[in-house]
Amino acid sequence: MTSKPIQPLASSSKRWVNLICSGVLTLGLAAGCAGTGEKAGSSGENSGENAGAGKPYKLSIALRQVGDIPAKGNEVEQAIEKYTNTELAIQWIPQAAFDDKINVMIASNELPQILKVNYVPNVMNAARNGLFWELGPYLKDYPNLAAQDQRYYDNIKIDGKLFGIPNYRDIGRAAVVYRKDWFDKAGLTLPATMDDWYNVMKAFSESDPDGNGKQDSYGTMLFKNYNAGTQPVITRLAVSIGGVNRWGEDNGKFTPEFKTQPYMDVLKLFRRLYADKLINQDFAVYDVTELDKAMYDGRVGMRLNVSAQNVQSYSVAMKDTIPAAEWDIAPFAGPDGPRIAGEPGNFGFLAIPKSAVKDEAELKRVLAFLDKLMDEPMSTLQMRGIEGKHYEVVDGTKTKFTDFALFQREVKPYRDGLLNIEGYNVPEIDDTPIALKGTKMARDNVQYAVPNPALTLNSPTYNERGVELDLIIRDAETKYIMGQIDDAGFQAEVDKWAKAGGDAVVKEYESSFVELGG
Amino acid sequence: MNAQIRTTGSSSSRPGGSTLGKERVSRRSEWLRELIKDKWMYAMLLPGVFFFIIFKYVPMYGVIIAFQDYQPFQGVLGSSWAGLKHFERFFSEPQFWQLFRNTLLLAIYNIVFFFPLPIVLALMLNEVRVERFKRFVQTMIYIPHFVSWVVVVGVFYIILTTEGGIINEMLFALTGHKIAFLLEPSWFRTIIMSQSIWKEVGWGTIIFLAALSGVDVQLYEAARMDGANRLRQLWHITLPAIRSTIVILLILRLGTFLDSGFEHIFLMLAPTNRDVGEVFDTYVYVKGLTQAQYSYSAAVGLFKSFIGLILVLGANWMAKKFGQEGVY
Repeated sequence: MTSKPIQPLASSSKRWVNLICSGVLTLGLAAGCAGTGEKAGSSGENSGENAGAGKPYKLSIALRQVGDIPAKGNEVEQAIEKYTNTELAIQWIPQAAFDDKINVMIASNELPQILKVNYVPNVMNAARNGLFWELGPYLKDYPNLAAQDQRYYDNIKIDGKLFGIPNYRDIGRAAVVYRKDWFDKAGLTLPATMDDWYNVMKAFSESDPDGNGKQDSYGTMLFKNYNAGTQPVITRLAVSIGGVNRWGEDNGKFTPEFKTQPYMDVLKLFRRLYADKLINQDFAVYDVTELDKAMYDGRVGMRLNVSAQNVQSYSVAMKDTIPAAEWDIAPFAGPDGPRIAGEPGNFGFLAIPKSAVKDEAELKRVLAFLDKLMDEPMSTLQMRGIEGKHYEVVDGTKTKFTDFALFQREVKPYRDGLLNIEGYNVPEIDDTPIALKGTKMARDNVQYAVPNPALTLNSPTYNERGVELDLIIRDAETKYIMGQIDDAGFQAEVDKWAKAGGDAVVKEYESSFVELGG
Repeated sequence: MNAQIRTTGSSSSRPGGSTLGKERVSRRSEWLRELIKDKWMYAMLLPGVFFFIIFKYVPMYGVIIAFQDYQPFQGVLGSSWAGLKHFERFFSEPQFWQLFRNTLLLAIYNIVFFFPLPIVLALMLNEVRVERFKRFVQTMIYIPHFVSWVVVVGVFYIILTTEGGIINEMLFALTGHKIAFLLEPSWFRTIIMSQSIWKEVGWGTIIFLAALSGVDVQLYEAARMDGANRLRQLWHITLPAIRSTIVILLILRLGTFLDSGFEHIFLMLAPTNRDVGEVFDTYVYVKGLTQAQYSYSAAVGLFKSFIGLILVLGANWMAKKFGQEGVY
């Protein structure tokens, strides 16, 4: 910063400044004006009547990103476009900020024709406020969609109405995925009681099952958010010994899980494990991806937050690095046999915003697209990939993956985001025995599933402050496990929860239960 | 900074004396004449002016949602009015004082521990006579500024974790105990401040170094003639020379007094340190984004900005009172 005065401009340089200034201005104005007019989503030319034949229908979709973002115009996308006669514009939303991004999209009302959402309070509020088309009355006209188990639809209903098509998932996926070789070597069986769990955890931490000479392995590890979402570790264990799945319902009276004995028993188990250093001490800041890494390094004996089908990818991934690793699965089971926390049966759902799909004719066009996704060729594409590239046909009818890693990279994003379910309109698969076991278990174990009775009930208080209420309990659990608060301290946090709105939630669930004819 | 202000003042030559009679008319035409004379100068200002109008002033109308029950599908104009409801709710929230305390403490720590450091560092660098060494150090301390918070927090996690983090392994070898730096509430502010200092202190020296380079060398020569040593020169020449820069930066800093740096705090929050770590910024996030209470979180944000405005006005007034130049 020198204090030299600005030189008077010579006439030639004046012209330059003139040019530059007007250039900058024009650019600035152009930038300011761009953006209007090219609003994503609906456009006038999509009138909907030309369903099926004619010009491809322009369809914008927002999906959750799984793995890497697929290249635009890749083979899979082209195949879908060709079969459904559409021109797809897919926006992939990163998983870490998915709900936030959806909230921003809803807040700004800039929505695509198909929007993947989770069954969370904000989305439910948006649906109640008429942001999405109600699909219940139309469902019967679409054979593939109508053919699915009613429970999938019931579990995403909002005030008894259907506002989307679920990304179908098996309800009974909860399973312990474990290192069979570790159990065999130590002469242990899968735990059933809390004492069993303690002993297995102790054995795996102290006996050096991976044989690297260091005490760096764990029976299982916790991570931040260990009890959030649809695969909560504490709840799953509590259910296995007779507890409830998030909420207990008895004669119309509702009790949250953390006021039940089995749940507290599980918390006490982890508190003991933490005190004896048999569980990772930094779990409150430990990321789940770090846990994956530790597992692939052969330091983890059991996974409690995944699903039965994961056993296949773990086996494949560790085949070369740790050949001795042998993975197996079993349902969560207590002293009285298998008892698992039922999942909601979806991986979010696909909603159709009214702001992007203006009239009924266009709605029908979008629904026809979704229905077509479950036709045999499309189901096969989503779940098996492209013949000759990802899979081959063996024994005349069965399919077999030829390049599973390539499938995971190129096809999985579509399989996870769109509509398909194993066993419907898709050829049988010929796979490793453990992979088949995983698929079968996820399907069959629905018989052991304990549902969450409050799943589709309406509580205005929970809608408004659910995140905070959950946070109070989540934090209290973590502090309890870490020994920072005792039973009285935990009780105090539960009282805080009750006062902050928990009591109101209970009351609202109870009346909503009556209303919906519980 | 001052140099610039002075420059613009002196560059406009004022024709004196002859127009005294028709003063009003001439002042008007003088203004116009200058505008025309320096039109390209003013033209260069325009992109900046447009930037502020389009990106800073126009979006401000959005704050009216703080006084509404904003519904996205009804838009800003269609939503119903709610008066001061959201502010009343915020002030009566049991969490309010905790948030206020956490935010205020971090802000004070920032002013007390962080703000002076770039000045000290700049003064030290200014005393370095080996040019190459000085350049090297400058470059090295600028680099952390370009590292994103996610990476900084990740690096600190690896260093500080109790599961094989290098600090804790050393502690364990020496004392037999580990300290859960990342979970312990009592360590939260210390770590937040250390991270801020590590990342930003070098970058903060830039303006001070620029101000220092503008100090007249003759002053030092004269002082040396009078027998002043290094410390005396620092005290009587260097510091007074950059005093106004320090004051202006302090005032500007106060404007963002309550900005705790959302990204940074959010990444460092853990279940065990939320009692000391939750600040207005993270609260706005939880309310506005995860729970979609747009109006309420807008009210909280507006309150925060309001405090910032008061602080800036207050500090500016104080600065002028003590004979310093303010920001306006």
